Amino acid sequence: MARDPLPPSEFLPLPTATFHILLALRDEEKHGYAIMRDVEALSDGAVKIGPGTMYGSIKRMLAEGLIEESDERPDPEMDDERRRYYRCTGLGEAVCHAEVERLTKLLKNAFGRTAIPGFGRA
Amino acid sequence: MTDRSITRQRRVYRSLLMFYPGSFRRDYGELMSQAFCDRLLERGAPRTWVLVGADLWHSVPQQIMEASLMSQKWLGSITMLAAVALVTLFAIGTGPPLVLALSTVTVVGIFGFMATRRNDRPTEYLFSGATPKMWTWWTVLAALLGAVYVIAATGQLIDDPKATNVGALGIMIGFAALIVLGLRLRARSRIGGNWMVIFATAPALMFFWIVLPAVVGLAIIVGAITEISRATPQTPAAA
Repeated sequence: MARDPLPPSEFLPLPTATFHILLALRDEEKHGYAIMRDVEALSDGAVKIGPGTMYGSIKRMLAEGLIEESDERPDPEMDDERRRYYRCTGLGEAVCHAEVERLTKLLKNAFGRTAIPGFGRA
Repeated sequence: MTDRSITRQRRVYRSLLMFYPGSFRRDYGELMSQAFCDRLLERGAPRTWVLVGADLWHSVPQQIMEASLMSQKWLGSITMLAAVALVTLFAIGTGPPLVLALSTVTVVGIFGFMATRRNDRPTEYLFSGATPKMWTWWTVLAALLGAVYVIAATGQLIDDPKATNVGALGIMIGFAALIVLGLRLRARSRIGGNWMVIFATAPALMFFWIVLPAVVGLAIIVGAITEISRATPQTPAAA
């Protein structure tokens, strides 16, 4: 019997790789290497995920219902029928949104309480 | 970069994939190999191999543990072994600490096995309604170890009631409490909670002659450290 999905807050805080993969998949379906590139670009090169970490995360995210495989082929330039494309599910988007909100609150509190060099107090 | 060089490096990478569990390799091996080649073509060999080296270091132990310790087959086997050992110990009349410890393993094992069968989901969801990130394979082991600390020390006190064993029970209750607090703290601070669990698990390594607590302790420490490393960027930014 299918269980009700967990509420987004239950997934927080997200592991780094999971959060970055969700961010990379918010706009459109992507295949594995496109996700790797996007994660690096999103973080200005601070986070680089290798194939093992990425597919390990993808395996868990598929099981958790955060992402799903897509039949659409949105990248004709690099298309190869062996590639698998992934996209964010509704739950994935909600979880990503909840994590962004959590981090925003955290930053707001951090700026409010701490004098951060170069930023000062909020 | 020549086609021959790419083919050779792809072959080397594919051979390294042997370190991953078979099921993970079957599902994702080809895709990983493809991502490796894409990266090789775009970024060149040195940068790709630096990334892949760090990636293997982090992801191989994690996948092995996820695949082996959390599968129903292994959980069933461990439970069965614990049950057989328990019956044998009762038959030969061994003292309470080991019997109580094995009883706990058996009960938790049966519970876990039934839960995974009923839910048909990964054992990250072993406890219904729990946060997936709160309960992973090693946190279940840590909770079990905490229970074993208390049960074994209580058994020791019943077996040999003296002041030093009362002190030992107090210390073991303290370590078990640290495990529980660490597991609860993980909801707010995963890294802080994990280090607390690691600290409280370390005493199990001292019981290396009993083998099982030390192996379980080591597995918990590896699991907790792997998760801490996953909570930070996998590789440093390129200079």
